[in-house]
Amino acid sequence: MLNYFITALFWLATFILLVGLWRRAQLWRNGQAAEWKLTQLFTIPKRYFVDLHHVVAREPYIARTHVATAGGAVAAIALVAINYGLMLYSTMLNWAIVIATCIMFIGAFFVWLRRTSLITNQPPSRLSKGNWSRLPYSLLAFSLGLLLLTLPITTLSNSIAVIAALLLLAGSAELALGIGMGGPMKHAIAGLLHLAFHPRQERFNDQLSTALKPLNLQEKEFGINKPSDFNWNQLLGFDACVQCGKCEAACPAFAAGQPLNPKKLIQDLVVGLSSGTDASFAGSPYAGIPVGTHAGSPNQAIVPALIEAQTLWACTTCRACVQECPMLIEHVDAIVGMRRNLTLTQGSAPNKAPQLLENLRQTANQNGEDNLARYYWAIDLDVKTISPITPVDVLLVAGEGAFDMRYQRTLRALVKLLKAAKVDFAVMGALENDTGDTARRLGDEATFQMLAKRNIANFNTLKFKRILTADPHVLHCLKNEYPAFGGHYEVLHHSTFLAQLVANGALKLSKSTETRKLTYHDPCYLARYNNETKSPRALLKSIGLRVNEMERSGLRGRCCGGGGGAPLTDIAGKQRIPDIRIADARSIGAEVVAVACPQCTAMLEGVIERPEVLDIAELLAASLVVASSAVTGLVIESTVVAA
Amino acid sequence: MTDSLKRIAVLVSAGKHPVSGQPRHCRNDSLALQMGLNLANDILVLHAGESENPALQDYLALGAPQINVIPTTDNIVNNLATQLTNTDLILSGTRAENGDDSGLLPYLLATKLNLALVADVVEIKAYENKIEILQFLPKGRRRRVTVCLPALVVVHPSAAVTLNFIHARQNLGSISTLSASNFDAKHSQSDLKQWHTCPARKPIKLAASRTLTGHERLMAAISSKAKGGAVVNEGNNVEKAQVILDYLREHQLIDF
Ligand code: SF4
Ligand code: SF4
Repeated sequence: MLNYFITALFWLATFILLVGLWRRAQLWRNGQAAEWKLTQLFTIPKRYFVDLHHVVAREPYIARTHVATAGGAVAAIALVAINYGLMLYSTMLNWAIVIATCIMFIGAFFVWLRRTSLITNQPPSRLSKGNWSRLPYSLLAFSLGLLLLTLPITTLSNSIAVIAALLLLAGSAELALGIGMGGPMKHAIAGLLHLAFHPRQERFNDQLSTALKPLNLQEKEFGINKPSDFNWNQLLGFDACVQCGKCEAACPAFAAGQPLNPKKLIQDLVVGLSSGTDASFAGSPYAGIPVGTHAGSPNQAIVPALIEAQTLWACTTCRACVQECPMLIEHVDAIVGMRRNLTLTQGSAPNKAPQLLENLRQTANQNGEDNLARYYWAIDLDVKTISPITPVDVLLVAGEGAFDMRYQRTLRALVKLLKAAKVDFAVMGALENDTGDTARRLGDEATFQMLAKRNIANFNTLKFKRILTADPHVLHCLKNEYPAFGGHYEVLHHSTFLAQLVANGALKLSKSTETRKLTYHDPCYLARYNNETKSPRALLKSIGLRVNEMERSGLRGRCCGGGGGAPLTDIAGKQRIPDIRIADARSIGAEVVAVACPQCTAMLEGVIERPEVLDIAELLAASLVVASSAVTGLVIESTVVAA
Repeated sequence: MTDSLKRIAVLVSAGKHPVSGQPRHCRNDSLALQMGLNLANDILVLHAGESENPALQDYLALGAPQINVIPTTDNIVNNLATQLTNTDLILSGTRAENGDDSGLLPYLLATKLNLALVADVVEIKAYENKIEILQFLPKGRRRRVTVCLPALVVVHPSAAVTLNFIHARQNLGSISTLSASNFDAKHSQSDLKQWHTCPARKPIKLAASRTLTGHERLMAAISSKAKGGAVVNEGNNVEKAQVILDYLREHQLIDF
């Protein structure tokens, strides 16, 4: 009798689940076509156990509970499928089910524990409440019910059997209805499918995949206006979100009290793809925007009915959310996709952004300056300027920082180091255009592509082996985003290149005289976008400087607030992002913050009370061993930098 | 938006960025364009020059639905004039910036079409057969003027309209060249020769040399009253002009 109950329940639940999946798939299919192969399904196990677990394992508590809960559940359900689905009713298998459900029960217990105030004072605020608070109970009910019913004891009292059956029924409903009704268990199916059909397949081949995808402007591709403009696998990805809020906890804009929460953003897109309102969202809201006032559907414009424009403009594109997301969701692609539509079809980027875009269109630099002035800082340094007839080894591309008097000090220090290491290099001179990085992040793909094509055309007239830059945004653009337009170059950040020079002995440095406590701030576009966290630290170590790490550093470093055009769109919050970052540095008592990016330099130096901000190049130049008399002209300057 | 204006035309010229020299829209003309768009959806946008000029792409992005390019092989004023008969309101920017535009053109055109020209306009409201404009005057003063249509309105750089560059509109808009045969053939090439092009000079201020104390200079700068001189209200046009002429001669600002 009980056996038949479980068999019937199993097949019923399976049927409901498949119907639910089919219905959800219809919603995903509202999205645009994207390449996929059924065989990608076979990649799931490796991607789950390696790539996904790699992220989850950063938080050991939840990693262990999840392994127990999900592992126990999958094992139990698989065994039920064999033993009851196929009506074998073997006692041996029942014992196996008991073990699996025990593991699941223990896991579910710890899931529950985390959400109560028993072990911590309070569950982390990043977790969603609502039906996510229900989930631990459903899981406990499922595992307990199944455990009791499959216990190979013949004398289960009737009342207990009925209770167990009800528990199992309730738990099974959560599992089976989740995908179709959009409940929390939706994440299991959508999450696994998302692993298989992820929009950035390269991520699973140990490749960095941080470049934005080009728009075909001739084909009138103007970004994301409505949920159905996303590719179907992006929609699937949004459905995978488990509302763990790790993105929220990492987001600098959220921390600064700006109206952005990447978790809510993904949930809003789920609302959009499945039609509804955000009223049932039970997590942290966008600062200053009440929950429940927005609604959307697949073919309705997202801004402003579903998401306010200011939410999109607050993002610094720092990728901290993407870095943290255990479901490997690509928030930045979604945000820039929607920004593209705003900029290209409404021209509505706020505050200083339109002026900057106009400058880029008309002068190929951000502030409407004369491009000849880009290298004025090098006039007295006797630096070659590249031309089609003067091949060089290294082409130095200074970027927009070159117009900034503060950053010119860094560039001069870099030139000094290159000269000391006898590098054959030249600057790009008036041929250099802005890379288009900021334009692209602001959604102005047209201006970006115009600048990219111009730069590539200029590069193609020149002969050089590699490009060197001190600006991680230039690095990312040239190295990762220009290949899509036919520009393939070896591009190195100055920290990488200088580390090579130090390693092969070309650059000789003495111990630094710097005695103050020092920390290093990782630029997002160097660390997360280009996976370079070692060279800057190796360089500092080579001159005897110890890096005192801030709480958030390396690939998990906190943004300075300078990326993605955020300083231009300037969305108001409760504090400024650089203030938060400087507070990080002060909290460990740092007196010097080493940086490696003009944006970070400008943002962090904009904080009034702060440690000194020095670029790695400046710190190195100060401990340059001046050996030959050929560089005596530079000695005076090196003392200036040291002072 | 109003139906009372039947036909609005905007004249746009090819500007140049003052630093980079790159072709671009002329901001003053763009303000005129946006003012026109605020008054009606369907406006006639005219450009005398080359249809390939990249500057025109800017006007499309700034909202021009279609730009009609008029050849410059003939007398430009006449060519424009043939397109502008039956137009209620003609809008253009105030003066040349950097490119191929002429600050005098609106005046010549107004003369040719026998239209009233109102300069330095910062705001337009349209009514049946007339418009009410707000005119820029120095030192923060503004003047409201009612103008009967048809008229030619020259927009001041401080006009309160927002320009909105929308890339997608470049694909929606179109540029068409009106062939030379559309124009009166009797204006020969020789007419073109009457145009003298020369780099724009800085305007010379006709100011009587006066020695002022610091306080007087301050007052002159911050108030409109403390500025000596006289307002001539009496007499006909000739008499009023005579007063000005006398003043200029007295201070040796002109020598005729
Ligand atoms: S988007 Fe990712 S990190 Fe953010 S709540 Fe969802 S699953 Fe967690
Ligand atoms: S990219 Fe950075 S600023 Fe933007 S949503 Fe993600 S964490 Fe927040």
